[in-house]
Amino acid sequence: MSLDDLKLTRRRFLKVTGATLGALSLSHELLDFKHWVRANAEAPVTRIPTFCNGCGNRCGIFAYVKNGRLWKIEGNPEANGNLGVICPKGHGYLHDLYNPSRLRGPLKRTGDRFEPISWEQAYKEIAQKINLILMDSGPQSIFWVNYPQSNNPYALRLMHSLGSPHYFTHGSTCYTARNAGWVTTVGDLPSNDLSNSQYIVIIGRNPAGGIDLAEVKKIVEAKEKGAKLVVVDPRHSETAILADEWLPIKPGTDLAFLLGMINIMIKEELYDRQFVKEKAVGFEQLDDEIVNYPPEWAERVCEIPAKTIVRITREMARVKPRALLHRGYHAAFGSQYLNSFQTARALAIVNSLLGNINREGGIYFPKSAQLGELQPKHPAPELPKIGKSDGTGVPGRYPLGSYGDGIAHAIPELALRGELKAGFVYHNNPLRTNPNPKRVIAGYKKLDLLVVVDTVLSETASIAHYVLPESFYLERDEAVDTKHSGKRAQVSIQQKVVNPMFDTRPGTQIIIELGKHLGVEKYFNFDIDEGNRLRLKPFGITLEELKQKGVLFVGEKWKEGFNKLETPSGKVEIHSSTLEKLGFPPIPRWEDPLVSPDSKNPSSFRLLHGKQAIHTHSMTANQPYLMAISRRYDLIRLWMNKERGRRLGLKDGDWVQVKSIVGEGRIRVKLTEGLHPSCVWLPSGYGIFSKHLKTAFDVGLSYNDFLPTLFDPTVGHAMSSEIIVQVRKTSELRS
Amino acid sequence: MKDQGKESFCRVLATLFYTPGEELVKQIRQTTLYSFFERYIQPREGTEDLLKGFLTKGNVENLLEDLKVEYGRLFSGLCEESISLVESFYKPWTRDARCPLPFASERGLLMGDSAIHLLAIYQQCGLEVSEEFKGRPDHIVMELEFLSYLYERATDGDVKTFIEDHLDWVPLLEEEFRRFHAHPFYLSALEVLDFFLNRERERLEVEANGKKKIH
Repeated sequence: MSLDDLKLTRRRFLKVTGATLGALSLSHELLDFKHWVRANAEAPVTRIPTFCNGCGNRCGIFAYVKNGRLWKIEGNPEANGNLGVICPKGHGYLHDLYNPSRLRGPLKRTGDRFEPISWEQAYKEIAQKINLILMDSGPQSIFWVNYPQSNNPYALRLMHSLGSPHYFTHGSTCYTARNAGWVTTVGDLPSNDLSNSQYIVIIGRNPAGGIDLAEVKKIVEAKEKGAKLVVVDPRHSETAILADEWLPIKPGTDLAFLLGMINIMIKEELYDRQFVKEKAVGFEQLDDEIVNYPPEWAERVCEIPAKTIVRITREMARVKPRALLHRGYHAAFGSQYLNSFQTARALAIVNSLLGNINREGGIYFPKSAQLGELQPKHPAPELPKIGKSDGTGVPGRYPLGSYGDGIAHAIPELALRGELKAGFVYHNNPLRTNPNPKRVIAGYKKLDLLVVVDTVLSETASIAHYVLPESFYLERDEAVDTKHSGKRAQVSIQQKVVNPMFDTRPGTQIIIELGKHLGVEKYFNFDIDEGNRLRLKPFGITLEELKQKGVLFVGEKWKEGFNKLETPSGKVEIHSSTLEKLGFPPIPRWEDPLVSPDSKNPSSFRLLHGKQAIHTHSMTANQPYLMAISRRYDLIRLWMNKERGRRLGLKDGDWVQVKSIVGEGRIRVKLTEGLHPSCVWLPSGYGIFSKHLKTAFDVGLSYNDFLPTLFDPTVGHAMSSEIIVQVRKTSELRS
Repeated sequence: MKDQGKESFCRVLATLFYTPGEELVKQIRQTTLYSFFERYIQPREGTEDLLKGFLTKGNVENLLEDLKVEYGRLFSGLCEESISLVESFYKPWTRDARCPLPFASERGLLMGDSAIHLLAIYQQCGLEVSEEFKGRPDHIVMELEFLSYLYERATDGDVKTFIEDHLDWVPLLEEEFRRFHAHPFYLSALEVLDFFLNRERERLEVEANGKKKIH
């Protein structure tokens, strides 16, 4: 048997280039590993600005590279969003760059397995299937869903070029009620001028947990200057630790607290009379309505003492307009309750009564960079002629739903009804982050084509027909970004720091290439760099300048005051004629939550959830260092009020069974005085069920396992705190 | 075995740790693969079972499918658990004590020092890592191909250095293969590799000490 008989040896994976076919040019010093280690310790370190991808904040960072590998990261002090600081998630997520479980190339499902295929094959097959679906079911049967990224405008362009209106973000499970409340009242979503405020009230929002580094820094700065911080939250959150006062409100009753405040402001004439007269409409109707909500009534509903509501209202009024109620985010009224939209409206009205709208130390409209357009050089596709099937913006369905965000948690329902046939999921994992996973799995599995773009085999990627691997964020150039809005707008950029390790591609490139293969190449005749140059054109800055700094200020500085708001009246709409026409209360009125725990049943609790500072959605639980922190500090537990736990015979650390109308799970309990007795609280980010995510698999529970699929009638949000669970003592062993 | 033979031996051995294809299965079925290794190994007492995995029976189609499934299960990284065939995975990520990354001294990652070292070596030798192994220049396939390259062009001293520095992790695979109840074909592939490396270590040690060649 000679080597010539073995055809195997024709294959070579280490290829000799033509120039070196002769003698070996290798020095023994280089071959010697120990010698190489010593020599390379002195290799130069280079600094490249980019931004983090460990959560949605996209914090500005400097990445340092040595010998072609990552060396460290630091915060970019210029970036509005993080002011030079990086959180644990930013550091922990780095691990994924060198994670051997990362996707290495495109995958195609064959039966119950995946097989590696080339990009070209993947694009061709996806295009064939999409074309068939377009012919059979029309463009409206195709959707794209993503967690917001800088390249979203390109994804929207792709859907529009196919004729589909179905572009979704995760918004309906996060913030759409808050946004709708603010937009209806003041015309836009504002920001908080925390560092200049003298009195900050935060309802539900937890910037020290659902982390916003710049906000935490500004709160600390304000407190150092003497500001008071009041946190209104059923849970003693990470932000409550920073507070002067923590008010453990009954969950779902923030609206009552705010109505009580409005009552006092009007009754005692604590509001800014001039602002209301000149800049608001509907004060008279509010005056008529608000008599129904004295602080004593509010106390009965929200369990915050009337005298506390009165005192805080008076304290705020004394320092107005440098007093603010935080605009909120996910918790309390982002998408939690039936009354969340009206809670956001009431919050905007209290701020308006303080006269703090677009004022120093109050609520302000941040300057956000308006990027240039690709057209006319690259014409934009026509807007789709068909409306969204989810009913956003449609009277009689979800008229105040955000058309731009859509209602992503309706996708499974639309798929099960046969209205959606094919979907692209990018930087998102709906199987884990949407309510009612059994229903979500059934819906996504019903699709004729599911394409997932991800870096790992998430729950959603695991059931896809095709998985397109995106390069890790430090391996890719991306679209310019405007995320870092503030007192002065910023543009920022994510750029390649190290070479891609595998056969992966940047998200923007994938979108462009999909466009080219799907027959809409006339809208995608550009690359990432050209797109970026066109989008930067209005600012008179070059792509090279931006790449050098990572973040650049653009446009004018913010100025106090305003002439006209983006509302129908141009003023603060305390009374909304739009709402009146749609048949919704035009003035915030008390509205009970959809469900409430049974006060006679010791096992009955409302299930709340929220973030810990070390985890983002479902994407960080698999990072070994972050999971190690979770375990080290025993963070994977269900919070329960100590007295309620005692009545159930529970000791701290006992195992409990949690059961709702749709799900059941077991977890250890944390008994605490830091939680309202009517609820239990589950940290988000756990409950991973993709077996490919080995570190996180089967650790903890996700609140989504217990939530039914709900749609608020105004906005269509998920109402993800409208669920009652039964909690009982159990053993660790599963039945 | 002469160095030229070792060069071929390593190239064939490298191929066994790549995704199986029809050619490999034909060679198994026709027992040419067995014969090839038998010639080089020259089984002695205690090593008779070394090659039995290369005698796997069955028709070509089933065997190919079986090996593909097994390769996917063991090495593709697409199953819940798998075996890494990459040197970096088994060693501290970097020996640079000043590296501030939290995982600097951790194991279980890719592109560790061994990978960066090999990339530098490949570059100097004018060698290029194929697309399949981008990000894994210290995969066993790459290392065996480079060993083959060294047998062809370098001195015994260079071979000794390379085996000592970069193939010292192979014994760690044995436990992994057993834990995963690997297919007999892969057990044999690993055993042959281990046998070969041990014999080379002995020989090179003897030669380095100026003693008589024993193989």
